[in-house]
Amino acid sequence: MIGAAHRAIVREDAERLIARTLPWERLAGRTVLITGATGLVAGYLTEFLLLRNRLMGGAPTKVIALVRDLTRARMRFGTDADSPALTFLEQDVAAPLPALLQCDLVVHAAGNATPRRFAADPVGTYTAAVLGTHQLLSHVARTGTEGFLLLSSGAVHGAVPGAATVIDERAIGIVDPLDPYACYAESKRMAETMCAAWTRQHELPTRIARLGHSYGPGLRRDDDRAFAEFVYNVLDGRDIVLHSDGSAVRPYCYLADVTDALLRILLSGGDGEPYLVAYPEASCSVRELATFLAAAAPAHHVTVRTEIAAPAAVIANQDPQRALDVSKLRGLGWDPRIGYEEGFRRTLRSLQ
Amino acid sequence: MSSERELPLADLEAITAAAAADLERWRGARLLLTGATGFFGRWLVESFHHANATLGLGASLLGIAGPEEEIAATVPHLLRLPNIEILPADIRTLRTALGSHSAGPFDAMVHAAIQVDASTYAAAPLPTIETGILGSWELFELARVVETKRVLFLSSGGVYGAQPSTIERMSESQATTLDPTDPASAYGESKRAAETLAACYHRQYGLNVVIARPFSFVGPALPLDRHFAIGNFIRDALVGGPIVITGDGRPLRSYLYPTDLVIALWALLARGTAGRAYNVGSEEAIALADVAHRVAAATGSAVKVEVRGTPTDGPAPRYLPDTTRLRQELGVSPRVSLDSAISRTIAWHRGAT
Repeated sequence: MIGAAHRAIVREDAERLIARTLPWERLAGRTVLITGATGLVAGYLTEFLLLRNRLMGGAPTKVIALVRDLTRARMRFGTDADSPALTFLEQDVAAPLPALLQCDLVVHAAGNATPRRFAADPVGTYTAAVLGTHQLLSHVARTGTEGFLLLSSGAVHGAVPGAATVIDERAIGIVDPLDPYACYAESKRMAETMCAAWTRQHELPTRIARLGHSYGPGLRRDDDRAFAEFVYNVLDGRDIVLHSDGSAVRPYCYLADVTDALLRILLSGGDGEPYLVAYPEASCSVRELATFLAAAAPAHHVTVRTEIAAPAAVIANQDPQRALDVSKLRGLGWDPRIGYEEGFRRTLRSLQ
Repeated sequence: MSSERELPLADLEAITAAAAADLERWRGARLLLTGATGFFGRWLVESFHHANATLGLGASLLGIAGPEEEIAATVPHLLRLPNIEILPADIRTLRTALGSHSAGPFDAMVHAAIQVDASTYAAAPLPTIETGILGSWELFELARVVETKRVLFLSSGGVYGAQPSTIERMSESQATTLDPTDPASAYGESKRAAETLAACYHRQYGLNVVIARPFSFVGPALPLDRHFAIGNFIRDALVGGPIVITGDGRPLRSYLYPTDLVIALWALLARGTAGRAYNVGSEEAIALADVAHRVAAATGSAVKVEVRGTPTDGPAPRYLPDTTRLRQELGVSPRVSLDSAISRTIAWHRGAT
């Protein structure tokens, strides 16, 4: 599945990332359980951890990748799948883990993350977040853990009243629990509450990352978010069709910066604390992004058109436009570097 | 313990009379009820028994409850009712606990179970989360597999979080704020998430599940020593007072009598729209200090009310439902006034002590 271009880009990213100041020693010799490891964010994180072993030396970090489909996982990781530092565990994240499984750190990333999947499998979306978090926390409460990171979403904030509101971690707005989109937003909220409760009752070092629009190498063709469609339009030489006026401004965060954030939160974050992971300075409108992507591959002759039709059958992304305050994450030393132009250029190259 | 007796017969008769058409739906049916010995569950069990006998429904009910010793100590009379079986079982592993009981079909289910111990909740919120989340998943999954026709999930007015002072009464479309990373949100979030799961089962599998969001209640069998202010007031009044209000007495509440609650619940189980939530409660706002005075007056003797908290400024906190949806879609309205509700509660507890 992944080619030489992907490997080259991710390796280059990793070489730059290890030069940043992170508490790398807290990864040395540790075993990290990563659920949903074939997903966009967790897949990249897994690759990075394996690359870091090679680039930085020392006691290697071992990764146990919990996946639903072993065959797909082997395709996703290519030759990395044979690395002695990587073990696969094929199971449903909502089921109990093998009783003897030991790990020092956990990153819970499993779950549906795109609107089409929410619509197709709302119960599965919910159970991966809620029952998955329950199973993992119950397990590590028995075996002990140095850190448990829940990958949550900015969607937990819901609709925050007031157009000019700046959103930080405390600005929690409205999510209608019966809304079709709630299988994602509300189940992430519940998973966060579980983290907070396990920290309160058992002093578990849980941490929460609320991700926004993350993109980079490994972006899949079946990802139905607008920016992913644009990327594949360009790669396929098809015109980009905007289904809105394209004025919505989104902060796009490249996976290297996301990975940096996740590791800081996992290794240095506060217990039971949520952190927004977004790069507000790298924001652009949907139209700007489309125009940029079309121009980034001139040989493909892609143009940007607008077609505002009847509401689509898929659930619309209800994420409204708002300013984000990520100073809490910056307080952990996070200093993102990769703007949307560079990040999407790298993404395009990695997928060629 | 004061709850070792049956609920007032006149109340059960009133429910059967008002809800007869909705109860007819369960002629010959088998029902499952979780949380069968809690306040809501107990009213449902005794109401079901009364209707079953007087209307000759030929129905049966399996009630799921906590440990056997607890049932025997608090509600032993429920164990002697014909066509009703009370099974002690852990709701978190309901399907396993049911064993052979789950083989037969259930025509309807009412899910009322969640564990909340106010004295340990702040430091140990996990029992609430686990019973709330795992219990709901177990129940909806069972309902899907055995193809139950109707499911009623008892959520809570707590799903709304703090009611903004600008909203007089919360309607079903006004979901407000609960901070998910506050452990104190465990109860509200667990109920919210279980509602979401109900909606997911409805959408994905066509599960016919209706959601009730009960607010506050006062009536026989209300625990007097738990985290319900009006219960504490009645407890204080029954021993001659004083009734102690720890706050400033300004928060606005409303209370529904359990007969009105149960009539609404039978209506929702029979006729509520699947995938939809309905507030259940009283719209009649009253400040806590006034509640205390009404309780004092209802005792018929001189009981003092002491407001111990320092007065606060700003709008009084509110916890009040808008029940337009229940009235308009199901034609259900409260019949028992607050003063009558308080008097009947005091009378029942007096008779019980």
